[in-house]
Amino acid sequence: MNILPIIHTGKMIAVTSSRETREQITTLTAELALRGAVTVLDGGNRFAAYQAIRMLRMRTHNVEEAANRIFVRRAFTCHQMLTLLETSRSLPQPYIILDMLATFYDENVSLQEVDRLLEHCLVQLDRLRMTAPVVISLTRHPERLFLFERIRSQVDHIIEVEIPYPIISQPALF
Amino acid sequence: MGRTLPSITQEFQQEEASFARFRRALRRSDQVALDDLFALARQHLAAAAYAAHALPFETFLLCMLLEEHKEVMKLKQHIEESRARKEE
Amino acid sequence: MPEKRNELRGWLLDIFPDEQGLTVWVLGEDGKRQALHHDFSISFYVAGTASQLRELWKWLLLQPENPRLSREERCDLFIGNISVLAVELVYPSDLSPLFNRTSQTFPNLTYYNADIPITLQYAARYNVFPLAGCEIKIDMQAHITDIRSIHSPWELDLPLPPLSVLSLEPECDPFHATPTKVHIQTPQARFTLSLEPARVFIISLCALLKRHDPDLILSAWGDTWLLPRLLQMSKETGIDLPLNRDPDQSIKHRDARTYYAYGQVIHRGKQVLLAGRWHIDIHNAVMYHDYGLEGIWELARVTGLPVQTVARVSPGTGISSMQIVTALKEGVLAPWRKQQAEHTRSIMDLIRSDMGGLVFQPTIGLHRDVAEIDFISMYPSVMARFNISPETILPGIRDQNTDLPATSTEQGLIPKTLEPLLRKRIAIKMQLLTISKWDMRYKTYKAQSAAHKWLLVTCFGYLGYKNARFGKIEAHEAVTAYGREALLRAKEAAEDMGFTVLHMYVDGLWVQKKGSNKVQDLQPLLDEILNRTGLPIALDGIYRWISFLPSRLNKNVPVANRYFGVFQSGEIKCRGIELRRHDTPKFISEIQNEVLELLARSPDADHISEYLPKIQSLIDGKLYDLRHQRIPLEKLIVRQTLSRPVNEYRVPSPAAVAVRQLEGAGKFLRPGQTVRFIYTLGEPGVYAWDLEQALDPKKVSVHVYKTLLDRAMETVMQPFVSMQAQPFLPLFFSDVGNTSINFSSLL
Repeated sequence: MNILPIIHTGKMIAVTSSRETREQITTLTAELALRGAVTVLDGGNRFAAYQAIRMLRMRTHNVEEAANRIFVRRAFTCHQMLTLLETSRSLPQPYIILDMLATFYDENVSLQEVDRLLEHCLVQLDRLRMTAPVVISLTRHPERLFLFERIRSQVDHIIEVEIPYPIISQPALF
Repeated sequence: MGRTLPSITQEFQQEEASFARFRRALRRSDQVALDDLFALARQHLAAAAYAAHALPFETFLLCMLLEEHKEVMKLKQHIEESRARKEE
Repeated sequence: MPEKRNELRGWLLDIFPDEQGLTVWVLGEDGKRQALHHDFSISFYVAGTASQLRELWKWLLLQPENPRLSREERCDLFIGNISVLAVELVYPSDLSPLFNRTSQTFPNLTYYNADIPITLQYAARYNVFPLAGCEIKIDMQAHITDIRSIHSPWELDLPLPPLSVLSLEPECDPFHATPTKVHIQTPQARFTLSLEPARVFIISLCALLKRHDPDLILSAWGDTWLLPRLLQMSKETGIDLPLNRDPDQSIKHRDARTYYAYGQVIHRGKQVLLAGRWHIDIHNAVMYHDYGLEGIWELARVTGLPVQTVARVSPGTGISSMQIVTALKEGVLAPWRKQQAEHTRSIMDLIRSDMGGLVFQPTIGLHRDVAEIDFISMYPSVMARFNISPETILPGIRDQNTDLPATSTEQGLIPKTLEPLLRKRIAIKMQLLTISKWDMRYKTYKAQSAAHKWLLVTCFGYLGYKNARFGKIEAHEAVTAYGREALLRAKEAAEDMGFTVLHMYVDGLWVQKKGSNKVQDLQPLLDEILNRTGLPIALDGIYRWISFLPSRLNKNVPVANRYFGVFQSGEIKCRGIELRRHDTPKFISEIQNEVLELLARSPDADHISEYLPKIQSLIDGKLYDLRHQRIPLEKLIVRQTLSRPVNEYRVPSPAAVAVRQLEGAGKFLRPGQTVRFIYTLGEPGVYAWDLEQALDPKKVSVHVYKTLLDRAMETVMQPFVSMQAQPFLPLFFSDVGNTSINFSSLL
């Protein structure tokens, strides 16, 4: 799966989050940083900054310069996720929203409330994608599947990574 | 709020683990030497954290070098002392 | 003199809303306990667009609570003055239902002052606090017209009201076995009553409550077992039990809860709260073992929270309450929900900011004449000294000279809140240094100091807590940045003055210099550090010797917080070794402690070998006792706190096995609770202590306890073993593992 060729302004892409896709999103972030500024809105408190820098290192000598083009903002509650989106300016720079739903799965916030907040978030995402591509990574939660489905209905592409069947590459010794 | 980035110790352990294949292919005696290098570098984790370098492994390498150089200096002094004793 | 009749002097015990205002319970100077009425209107505030607020206004006019509405200018901490709709209610008990409906109907508005405990509102408006001595003006109907505190909570030696206490303690831990008797302590006597027959017990208890009319029921397991049981007995026998002093109020029950805080799973049992008098369960109170009732009184005074609440609050609530009172007094709105989100920054900035305090690796081994110096309450001092507060921090901007996060100049909410507390803490510390241990005030000061410490420690964490009303991650990070700077400046000062820095840990340094082993030798260094950092620093003590221990897994790798040593006073200080761990059986920790005390008798590190024979015979004796079942089983109990539900344990750890055994007996434990067990012979190797049937002492696994003892001995002896017998011999004496050394070779 390569996300880079399909991202365009006006497009919103969702990627289901798993260990593999997290790495791909990190790669994507680094790739985008080689070209210009990119903003990561982190809802899962797990942006792999060091990995992104290691990837930059493989592609450029100006590591710090490229790293300074990756911007981060973190949300620790779903209310903060909405505030982050509301206060993100419409810029001609890609947005990556990591683990967008993680904070929406907090049991202490009612279903009604997360539903309301997500609707407001979607309005903001629509605003942001007018000027730049938006990539969202997200997971499913068995008790709050409607949140996942709601985002799925709004995006242009959804990339669901299937776990590849293990291929035995080495011949048996005996 | 939990921290986003791994702590310097976690980062160090990850880097060390990423050389597992390299280590495996070394002779047993060289493995011991490699382990020593990592153990020595550990002493400077606080400094490495404070450095906040974009690529922590570069700092870890410097930590190893630092300890190696300390050892060299110690040995040098030792030799000079014993030479001085001989000359007396 | 008619005015005299309208004035009353007494202590403030409790405040809660009633149907038409507030009930204020007062312990009069004459000893009379009475409930007074106080009219107390209360407001919440709403911000939004003009059209949203117009719509809300129309809707509010139709509500049965009949609120008074007005447009006002108020201060939002982060935005400054804003125009809000003020919703005022004559009866405080109306606020919560009206607000709940409002926020559900208008979820997109910003609300302020909507969920603030009434006691805090009262504390802010009248400058009073729980346990305060007050002058109260009342009218003909015993309604309060004015109330004024004689003292400030920041004064030292505040007088305590003459409280009447009734203690109730079941004969044993109800989780261990079902108690049949209750030990009772009245102000005059101590006796035991049988719980059966229920009728007799309840009648007796009623009589005691009427005769002594206690202000405080101090119980053991009262929240989790005794009071619910008593209420059940009262219901079954049909005899009314006046646990509440206030007959118009009902008893409040709160469910048990488990939460995650400061890296730990914490369990709080269910609660039983009384009206007009207090109930405190010593096993369900926070840090009771640390600061006792004196600490609870102090927390109630400085936080403004009711006594029963403050005894049981979660970390953060205490400091958050203090911040709210400061905000209310300053006319700043307290947001209902935190609105702040992180500002944009580059990942390089994140890497530089997202780290905690500096933790160095000490120089492994035994060191003599080492001074330990610590910054006093480092993080709170940093906040107060450098004005770090969520609204003062200037995101993304660093001071040009120091490269530290920049702050604005006007004093922030957090420093304003902390300043008097820090001042009181330092004043108490000074008192503790000057008065004798036998002074009546010594224990009180110790407890107050412990309570303050708890507040100050949580203050820093709370600044970074995701739901903190007045929290902000950048401010939290700035505190650590200033802390790191201070520690490094201290290190530089020490090195400039010829000291060797053996270890540094967040806010403390261990330094050594030939010839510097007296208090006055260290003073110039302390002065210099204060000068360079602006933060107060004190000498914790000078060690005759201290040993920094390596990791258990790798003897070349030092561990930051694992050491033990003896101060010149003979006092032992240790961290990270067995006797500090909660899961170490008493049998082991007591021996380790005895060994340390023997070592501490040595005037210096060179004479330690003279104490080795004594240590050997001590251990031989204890092992003999262990083999001959002479160690009480209680001392062999291992305590472990469950970090997750038992079905999530992948490997059946001894703790998980014990929990399963208990479940089989119908006793259930939740994460955050402690399971107790003893290691036994054969399968499954453990026996849960709280099973009905007592354990046969013959089944105790001597081997396991001996192994644990060996390890504990290795920890404390290894610095001396390696000192005497080179090369390093990893085990002191042992039949575990494949290394063993002969103890006699050391002598």
